[in-house]
Amino acid sequence: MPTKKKPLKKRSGTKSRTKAPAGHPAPGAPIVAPGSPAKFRARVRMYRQGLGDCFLVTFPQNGKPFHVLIDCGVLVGTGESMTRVVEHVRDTIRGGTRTGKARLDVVVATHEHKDHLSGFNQARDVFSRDFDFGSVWLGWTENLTKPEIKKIKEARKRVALMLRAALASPLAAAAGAQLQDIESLLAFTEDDDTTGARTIAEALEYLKLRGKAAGDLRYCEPGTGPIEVEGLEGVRVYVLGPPRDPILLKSSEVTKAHKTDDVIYHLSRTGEAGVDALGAAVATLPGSDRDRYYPFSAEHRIPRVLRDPAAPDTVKPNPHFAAIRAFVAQTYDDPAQEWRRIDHDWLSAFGQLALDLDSDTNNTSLVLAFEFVHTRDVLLFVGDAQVGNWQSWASVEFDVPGRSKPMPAHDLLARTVFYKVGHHCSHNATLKKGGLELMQNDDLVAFIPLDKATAKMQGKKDENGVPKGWDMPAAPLLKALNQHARNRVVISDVNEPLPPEAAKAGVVATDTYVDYFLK
Amino acid sequence: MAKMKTPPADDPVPPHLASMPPVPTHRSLRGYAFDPSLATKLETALVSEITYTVPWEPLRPGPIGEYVEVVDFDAASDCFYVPVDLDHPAVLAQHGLMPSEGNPQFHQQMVYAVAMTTIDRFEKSLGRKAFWADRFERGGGRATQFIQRLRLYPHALRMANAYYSRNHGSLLFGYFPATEDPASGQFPGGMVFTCLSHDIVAHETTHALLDGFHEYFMEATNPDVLAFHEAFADIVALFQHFTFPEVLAHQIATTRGDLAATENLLAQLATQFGHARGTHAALRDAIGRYDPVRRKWVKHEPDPFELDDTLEVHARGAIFVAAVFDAFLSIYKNRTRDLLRLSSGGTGQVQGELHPDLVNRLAQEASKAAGHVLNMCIRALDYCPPVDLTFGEYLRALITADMDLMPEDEHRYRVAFIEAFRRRGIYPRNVRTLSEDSLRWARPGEDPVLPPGEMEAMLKRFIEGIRLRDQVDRLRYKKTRSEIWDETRNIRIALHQSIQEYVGKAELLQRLTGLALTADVPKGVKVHRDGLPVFTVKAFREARRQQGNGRALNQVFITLLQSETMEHEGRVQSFRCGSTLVIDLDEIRITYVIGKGLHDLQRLVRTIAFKEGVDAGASLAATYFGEADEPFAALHQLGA
Repeated sequence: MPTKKKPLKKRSGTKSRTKAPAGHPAPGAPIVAPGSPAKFRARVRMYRQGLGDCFLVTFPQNGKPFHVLIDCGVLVGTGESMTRVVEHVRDTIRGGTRTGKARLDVVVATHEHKDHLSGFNQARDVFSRDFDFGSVWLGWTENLTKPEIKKIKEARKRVALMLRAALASPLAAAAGAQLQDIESLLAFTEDDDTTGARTIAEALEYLKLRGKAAGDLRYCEPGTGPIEVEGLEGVRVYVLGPPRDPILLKSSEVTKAHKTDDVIYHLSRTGEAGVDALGAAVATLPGSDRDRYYPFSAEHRIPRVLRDPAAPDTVKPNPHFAAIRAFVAQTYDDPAQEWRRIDHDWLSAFGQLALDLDSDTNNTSLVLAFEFVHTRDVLLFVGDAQVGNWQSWASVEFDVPGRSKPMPAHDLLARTVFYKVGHHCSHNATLKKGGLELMQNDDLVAFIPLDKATAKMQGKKDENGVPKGWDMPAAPLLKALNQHARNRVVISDVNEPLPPEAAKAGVVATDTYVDYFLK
Repeated sequence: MAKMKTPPADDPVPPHLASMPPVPTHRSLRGYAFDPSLATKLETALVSEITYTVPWEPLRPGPIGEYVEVVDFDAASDCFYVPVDLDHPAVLAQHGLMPSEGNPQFHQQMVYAVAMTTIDRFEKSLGRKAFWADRFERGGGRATQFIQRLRLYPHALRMANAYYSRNHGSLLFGYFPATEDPASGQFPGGMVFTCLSHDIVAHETTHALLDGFHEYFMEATNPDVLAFHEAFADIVALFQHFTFPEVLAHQIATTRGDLAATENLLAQLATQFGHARGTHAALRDAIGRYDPVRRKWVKHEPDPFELDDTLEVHARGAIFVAAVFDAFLSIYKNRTRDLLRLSSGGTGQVQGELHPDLVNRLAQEASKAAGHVLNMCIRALDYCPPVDLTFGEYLRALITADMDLMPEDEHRYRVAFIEAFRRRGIYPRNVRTLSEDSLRWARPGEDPVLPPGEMEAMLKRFIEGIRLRDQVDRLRYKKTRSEIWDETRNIRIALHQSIQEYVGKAELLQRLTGLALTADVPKGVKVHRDGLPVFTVKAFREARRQQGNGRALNQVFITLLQSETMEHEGRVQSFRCGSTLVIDLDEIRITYVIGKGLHDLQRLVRTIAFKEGVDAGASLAATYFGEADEPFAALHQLGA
């Protein structure tokens, strides 16, 4: 896949191997942005590293600041630039001093995608050397000690493997554009050299180890009581997702149908046998094994040529084909009817699988709401949760101390003052009804972690080699967000100016990050 | 009577006509009644196979006939399957090949039989030949191409999907292994073929027929357009169930005549497909659904608010299907009330099992009512606006068409329809009441500027001026579809010209249709070099149908299309408008003008809002892949 190296900060000579000496913030990236207020209750720092999420949430807590890191990743970016982001996080926490460990009280990994986790691979050294972890929070869907979860993950892994096999097969070359879409989608789970040849799964493993070492590794489930964290006074944390209902975990379509009986989820519909059957068409399997996946027994099949299974490159004419040659010549092979040929149409099955794979993982996003107990303001972080995840919140309730009745999760949405927009502002990662429409707070501010240039260079290429691009930000959603947040919508893209309305609300931007303050 | 032709012999002896067998009217072909899953259940095994009777036509191996060609290429397996020769004496002698899942030649036969049954049904209702969507050669100028045959690929995809592709002029059917869940009632991992499902083949064929009829019903400009495409395809598949006599009698016996409140095969679509995906239910059900919580089938009660927040195409279409099926059930109940009273000593409550004679009579009535309902549904297509159809407008089309044909509504069919639609909140816009009269499309009224009667006289002069009767006569005696297509195109060109020539009179037509047809072209409409507006005569169809009172109704349906660009909130939007003219040839009168005129800002705003609607049903695929090349492929991933 084409990896475009994107410089992250306005620094000259970033291509060179020279790093800023440890302990020094990058030039032009102060640890406190000019114009920041002296007093605030919370600061959300969104890094501008590219298409990916990296959020540092700081609660000053009267001199004993509490730091939460939510994700640290980039879809397309160099290890160096990601390392600089992590170093900046470190320096911020150290607060100007150059020594000592930087303590992250909570590290949150929302879901297993490169654009959320790559930093834990790319800047592994810095994390290991300079950081203390207080605790690590993951969604319950990452708990591989549970067999049913392991099964889901393994099925996903199989699909990813099969899709890569399809891309590597001669078919992909023959099909041309048909499979290019998938290629960029797979990048979310891909491991490339910028991550030190580590897989994204390894980033999760690393976090689990750190959590265990700290003695506080949590697999969060929605709907239990709010989490009261030691050292974080006056703030409650609520877990809204990933949903417990496996059906909702698997849906990303904007439909009401899946609330009823018509749940349709391609992976489960295709089933393991279905995935294998597709796989058999692209992989070279031993003759007898492959036979199982054909719809008819060998005697019915009339290939154009016969291949020796031992030496697939040697072909000889098929005598049976001669009998239908005239028929094929008049129909399928008729040059005037070439437009009716369907050689590659079946490959769309791979595209659907790749999509399912992506949305399944997105739907496992850990969704957290930070609530200030006295003022009741809420900071909402949804990861890349898609429709199924959002819809599940409708039935999530919390037993809150001092309340006789359980509190519905939608209550939190109504009080949200800061919303981290899901899935880089794609169309179906912010539910309108039962989601955005509930966010009625007058002070709402929305942050979108998105690099437009990266999104634009993804997807299928046309005849001039120009990619179709991903629909991010989705214009209708952006419009709706702007309405709800009264134009206080900030995009992490370094080329995006800070909207004046956001600046007025106290949002401060540098080239490296954007800060939101809850005063 | 036509006689079989014999190949010319060398010998000069003239053929002895008197001894030659007559050309058969029908070909009998064995097949699955619904799909192969019925054959493996004791309860339904007896009725799992039926004999399809399709109109006789000489066939080449494939089969390749007048309307369809089956080409059995399996891309995922990289092979062909030998085309079946249905004219082979051995095949003819035993009503086609025996139903078998493991024999690709039978699959070809099944696809052919169901597709032809569906086409035949469509043609019978409309009383004219069916055509597939024309092909526009990309970069090949503006000429459209006649597509004689729809191509059917029985094993095109290795996935749980089947769709109609206009790009390929084909139906693509997939196959896939069933879910491994043993509770699904299927053979876990066993191969499921969508081409062996009557419902799926009929559904896809109907998509193709509808697309050949109304090209722009695939252009989603409001939430109803695509939902209608799906619903209509389901309706045709569903009501074809009532033409299987054995199954019908069996199901009436098992439900004891109550088709409305009991789960039954007649009201369900794609049973095997649904179960094979592990959903514990048929893919779609017109009267009920599987409740995953209670783990059983429950009847679905209509909800007039359901339509408002159901925007996903299949779910929305299902509401429409349920409405039509509900209308059918009311009609069926009405027609059989006397029978039930007779056989129950007046109570209407039959005790114990139904007498076989009663079963047969009920089946007859069900079959008759289903036939009528399907006729009404198909004929309504003639009365639809050519673009931007809504469910409400379709209801109006259906009521109008039926009022034209059956002025006396003896069995209260129309009331049944109106009530069923009302119960589901399907109303047309801009009608004052929900009565038959106000639902009927408005006739062109008097023009206040003109003296009374002048309007009608002018329109009459206009129709005579464009020599409409002559045009229709040219079409009447054309036999083959290719000739009809050619002639229709000539007529469309001629009509276009005459409308332009009669600019003065076209002014009236312009006022009626709301389109721009004269030299006085408003902003936003494209103009030819000669200053006349760009518009097309999209379709020209004639119908000769018998009214309920025995009189013939000679009608012509002309579709005019035009595009305009409008500015809204600073963005220029392209916008399709059009009109269907219903003309009575005997009276020389324009009976209805059904359409969407220019400058309809309200409609434009609605369309934009729909397209921008976040909940409008776009998927993750749209984010990553952009607009789909095969609209039905993506749709059917979800549905059928």
